[in-house]
Amino acid sequence: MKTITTPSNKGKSYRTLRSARRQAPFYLMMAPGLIFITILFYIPMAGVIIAFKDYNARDGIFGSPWMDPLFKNFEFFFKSDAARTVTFNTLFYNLLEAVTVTLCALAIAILLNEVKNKVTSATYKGSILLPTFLSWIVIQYILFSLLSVDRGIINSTITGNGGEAIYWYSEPSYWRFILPIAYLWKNVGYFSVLYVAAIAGINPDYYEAAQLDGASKWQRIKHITLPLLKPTIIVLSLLWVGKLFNGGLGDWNGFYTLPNDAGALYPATDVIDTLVFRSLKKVNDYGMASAVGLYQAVVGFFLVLISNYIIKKKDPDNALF
Amino acid sequence: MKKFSAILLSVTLLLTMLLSGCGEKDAGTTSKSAEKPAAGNEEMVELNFYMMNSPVNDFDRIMKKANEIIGKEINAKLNLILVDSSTYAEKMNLMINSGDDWDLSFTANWGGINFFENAAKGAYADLTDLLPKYAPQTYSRIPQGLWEGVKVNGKIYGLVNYQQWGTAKREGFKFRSDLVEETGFDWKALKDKPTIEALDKIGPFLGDALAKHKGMIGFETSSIESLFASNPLLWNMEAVGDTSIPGWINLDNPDKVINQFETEDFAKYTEMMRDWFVKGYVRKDGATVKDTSPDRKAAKFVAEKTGSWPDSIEYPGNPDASNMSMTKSAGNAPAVTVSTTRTMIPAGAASTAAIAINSDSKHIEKALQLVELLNTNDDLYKLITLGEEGVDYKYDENGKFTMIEGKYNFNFNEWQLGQSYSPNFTRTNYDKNKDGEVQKETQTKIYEADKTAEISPVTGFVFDPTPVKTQVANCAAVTSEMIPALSSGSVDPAKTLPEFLKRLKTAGVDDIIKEKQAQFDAWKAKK
Amino acid sequence: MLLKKLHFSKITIHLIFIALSLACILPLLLVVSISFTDEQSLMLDGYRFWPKEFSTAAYQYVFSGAGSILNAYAVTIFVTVVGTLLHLLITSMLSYSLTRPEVTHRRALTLFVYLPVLFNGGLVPQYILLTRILHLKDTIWVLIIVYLVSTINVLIMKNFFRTIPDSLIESARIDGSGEIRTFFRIALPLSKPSLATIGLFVAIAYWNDWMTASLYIESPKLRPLQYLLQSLMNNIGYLQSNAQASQSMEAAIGMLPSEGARMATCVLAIGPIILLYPLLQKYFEKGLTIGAVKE
Repeated sequence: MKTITTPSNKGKSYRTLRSARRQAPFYLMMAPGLIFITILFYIPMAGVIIAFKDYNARDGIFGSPWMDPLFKNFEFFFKSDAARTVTFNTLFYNLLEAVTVTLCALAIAILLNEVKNKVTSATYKGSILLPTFLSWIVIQYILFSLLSVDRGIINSTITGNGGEAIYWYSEPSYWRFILPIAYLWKNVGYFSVLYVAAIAGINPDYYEAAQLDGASKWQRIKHITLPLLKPTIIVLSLLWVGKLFNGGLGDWNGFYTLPNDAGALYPATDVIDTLVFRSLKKVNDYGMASAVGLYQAVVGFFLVLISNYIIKKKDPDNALF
Repeated sequence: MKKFSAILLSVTLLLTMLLSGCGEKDAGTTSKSAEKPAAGNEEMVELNFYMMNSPVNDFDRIMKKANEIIGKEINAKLNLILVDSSTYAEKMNLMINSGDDWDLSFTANWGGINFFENAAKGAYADLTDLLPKYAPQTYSRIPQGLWEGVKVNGKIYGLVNYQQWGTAKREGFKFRSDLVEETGFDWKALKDKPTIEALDKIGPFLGDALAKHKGMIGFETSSIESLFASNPLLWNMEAVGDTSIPGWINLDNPDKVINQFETEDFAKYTEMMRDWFVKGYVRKDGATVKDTSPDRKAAKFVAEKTGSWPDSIEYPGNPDASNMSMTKSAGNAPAVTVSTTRTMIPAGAASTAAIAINSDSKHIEKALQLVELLNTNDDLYKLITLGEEGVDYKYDENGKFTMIEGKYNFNFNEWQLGQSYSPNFTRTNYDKNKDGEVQKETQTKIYEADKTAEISPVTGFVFDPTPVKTQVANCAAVTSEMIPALSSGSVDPAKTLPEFLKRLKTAGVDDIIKEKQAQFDAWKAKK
Repeated sequence: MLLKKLHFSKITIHLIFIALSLACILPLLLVVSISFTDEQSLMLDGYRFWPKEFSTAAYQYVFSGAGSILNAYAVTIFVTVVGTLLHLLITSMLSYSLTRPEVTHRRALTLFVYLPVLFNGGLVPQYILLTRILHLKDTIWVLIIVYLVSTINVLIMKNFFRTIPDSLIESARIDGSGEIRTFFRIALPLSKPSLATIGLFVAIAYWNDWMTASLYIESPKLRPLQYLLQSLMNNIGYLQSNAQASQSMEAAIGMLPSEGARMATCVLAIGPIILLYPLLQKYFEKGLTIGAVKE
C-alpha cells in the first residue's frame, strides 16, 4: 500500500495540514455519496434492535419493551423443523449460482471478445442481456407457459409426439435444476456485460506485446485477461459471500415466484427468506422477521471477514477493506 | 474548475433540498398542501380514506363531483387513496406500525390486513359510543348480530360493510346439469347430508360423467383452496380465531377446541381425495395449481364447490346460480346447485369487509359522518361506485346494466366503501328488466335469512396469538406445505397423514390448542 | 473447460452464440405471441409461439383500464433518467475518491460503504425515515432516492477506476489541474464503458421498480408505469382468488382477458427500456484504451 510522504522534514503538523488539503477535494466529491449512505442505510439500521424488542407502534422502535427472554424472537426459526432444509437449500443454491454464473459469464465475455464484427457482437450481447430486463413475475409467466401440464409448450410437444406429460410443478427434484437454470438465464447476461466492460478496460498494448512474443490465444487469456479480471471477480465474489444467507447477488424473489407457491415443491425450493416470509404472514411480527434478518447478516458478516482476511494475506491489493 | 464546482454545488443543493423536505412542494399540484380547500372555507376537514383498488379512469372527475356533495352535506373533503391490492396489507400495517397519518381505511380479517390484531393493539378507534350517535343508519339498518363480529373486548372497532349478498353462509355443491341428466345422478339427495356422505355419492357420478366426456375434469382442486381446511362449515365446524391456525370447534360440541386435522372427517376426506386422484377425477397437479380460472373458463369441471353466499345456491331464477362459474365466455355451462350445510353467520362474517378509523385521527366524528353519508346518500355512493349514468354506464334497450368501455370503472370494489344493501334497492345497479326483479327478490330473501340465521358460537371471540407466536409461525409453515398435497390426493394419506400430524406436534400445535381453549373459556366466562 | 473452447473454430463460437441468443429471445417471443392470442383459444389450445387465433383484446383492455398510461410513462421516464444520472454522478465521485491513494482512510471508508450490504433495519425504520423524517411520501423524489446509491455499484465501479493509470492523473496534476477537474476531465471520460454498464443496470432497476410506488405514492398523477400495470393485473388476480366476490362479480371477472392482458402488460412494460441497450451499445465497445494498466 502506498502512503503519501513529503520529502521535507518540516514536522508532522505541516504534513497533516498538507495531507488534509490534498484530501479535501476528494472528501468533497465523496460527500454526497457518504451522506446518502448514512441517511438511507445507517439511520434505518437502528431498526435492527427491533429483533430484540416486543415492538409496538405507540412506543416506537426505542420505546418498545425488550423481549423477555431477549432472544425470544429468534426462537421460531431455530425451532422450526424446516430450518435445516432451508439452510441447506440457501447455501446450495447460492453457491451453485455463484459458481455457474461466474464461470458462464466469464466464458461468454471471453468468447464475445473473440467476435470481431461489431454488429454481430452487439447483437449477441443484446440478446443475452434481454432476460436481465425482465422481472421475476414475467419470468414466472414464461416458465409457466413452458411447463404447464396441459397448456405448456414443452408438454404439448411431448404429448404431440405420443409421450407422457411431465408434471413439472409436482416433483421437487426437477426444481433443483429449474431454479439454477432460471437464475443463470436471468443473471448471466448482466455479469457477462460487466466482464466485457472489464476486458474492454485492458490495455491492448498487452495483447500486442504478447502476440509479438508468440503467445497463443489461450496463453494470452490465461496470462493477461484472467489476471486482470481478478479484482472484478474478487469484488463480485465477496459481495456474493456477504449475501450468501439472504439471496446472494441475484435476489430471492425468483424463489417466491417461480415455483408458483406450490407446497409440494418446498423441500426443494424453500430458502430461509421464503420460509420466514410464509411463516410470518399470519403473525405479521416485525420483531421475528428482523431477528432472522439479523441472524443472516451476522453469518454473512463473518463469512466476509474470513474471506477478506484470506484475500488480504495472499493478495492485499484486492482485499475489500 | 468553476463549472465542475458548480455541478458539485448543485448536487449538494439538491441533496439538502431533498433532506429538508422541500422536494414535497416540487412535486407540484398533487401534494397534499396543494389540495387544501379554497380560502373562506376554513373549517373544511380533509379525510384520507385508504382502500384497495387498481387505477381508475377519470377518477378526478368523479371525486370532484363526489366532493361537491360531501362538502355540502358535512363540510368535509374525501381524499380516497387507492392502493394496489398485493401490497395493501403491507402498506397499512406499515402505516399503523410507524404511526403514519390516516383517517379511514378498509379493513378485514383476511389477506394479512389483520383487523383483530390491529384492533387489539389499539390502532383502530373505539366506536362503541360514537357509532349510534354519528352514524345511526349505518348502525341500525343491518342485522344487529353483525356488530358482535367487529367487537374486541366488548368494543366496536369496525364499521361493517354489509353487502347485498348477505353474510349468512350455507355451503354446497354445483353440478353440470346436462351431465346430471345424462347420467341420472340424483343430486337432490345430497341436501343437508354430511360432507363425507355427499362426496361418497358424488364420486360415482364423476366416474360416469368422465367416462362419457374424456376431456373434462371431475372436481376442482387447487393449491390455495382446500375443501376441508378452508371450509369449516362444510364439516359442521367453525374456526376459533383465524381459520388457517389450527384449533376449530365442532358446532355440535361448541365448547371444546380441537385440532381439526386430527378428526375422523379429515382422515376420511384425504382418503376420498386419494381415491379420486387415483381414479383420475381430479387434476393430477391439483396440489400445485394455483389458478383454476383457465379450467373454469374452458368449462371443464363436472362439479365444483359452489360460492358459499346464498345468492349462488338454490335460487333457480338467479342467472348466477344456474351456470358453472366463469363460463360466460365459453357460452355458459348450465348448472344445478344443492346446499349440504346449516345456514349460519360465521364469526368472521362481519369482519370480512369493514371500515376502520384511526385511533389517532383528529377527526373521528367527521370520519363517522362520512361513512354515514356514504351509506345513506345513495347518489353519492352510486356516483363513486358506478360513475355517472349516461357517461360511464347505461341501461341497454333490454334494460340491462352496461358499463361504457374506457370510462370510469371502480373495478367492482364497492364492497370496501360501504354498505351496498338497501331495503328499497336504490344502491346497486339492478337491471331494469326481469333479471333485475329476480335480483331484488333474492336480496330480500338474503336479508331475511341474515336476520334469522344462527349466529356462530364463536362470534365476538378474538384469539390473541402473542403467547404462542412461535408455534403459530411454525404450524403455518407446515400446513402451507402439506395441506395442498393432502387435499388434492396427490399423496397417499396412509403414509403422509401421520407424518403431517407428527410435524404439527413438533411445531407446537398442542400449545396453540391449549392456548385457544384457555382464551375461549375465559371469554365465555366473562360473557 | 476454457481451454477446449479456445480450440473451437470461429464457426463454433458463432453457433454457441446463436444458440444462446435464441434461448434468450424465444421465451420473449412467446410472451408477445400470448399477448396477441384470443383468450378462449389460450384456454383450449394452450400456449403457442404463433397465435392460433389472433386478437388485440388484451391490449384494448389494458389501455382502457389503465387510466392515463401516458402520464405513467412520463413519470417513469423522468424517474429513470434523473435517477440514473444522479446515481452515476454520486457513485462515480465516491468510488473514484476511494481509489485515490491520497485519501488516507479509504479502507475504513470502504468498509463503511460495504456494511449496509449486510445489515439493514427492515421495512418499518425505512418507512419511518422516508415518510416522517424526510417527508418524501407521495413525492416523485421518493422514487428516486431509494436507489440513489448502491453499495454494490460503488464497489464495482471502484474496480473500474483502478484500471486508470496513475501516470495520467499525475500528469494532469503536473499540468496544474485540480483534483475535481481531473476527475471530470480525465477519469470520467475514460470510464464511459463502466458508466454505461452500471448506468444500464441502474436504469433497469428504476424502470422495473413498482414496490416503492405501491408503498409511498398515493396520488394517481405520480404513479409510474410498472405500478399501473402491476396493479391492474393484481386486481384481477386478487378478486379471482378471494371469495369476497359475489357470484355476479365473479362472472364479470371471468370475462376479462386475464392471461393475454398479463402478457400485454409485460410487453408494454419492457418495451421502451430495451431500446436503451442499442443507445448505450457504442460505449461498451470503447474500453479504456490509454496508458498502462496500474501495477
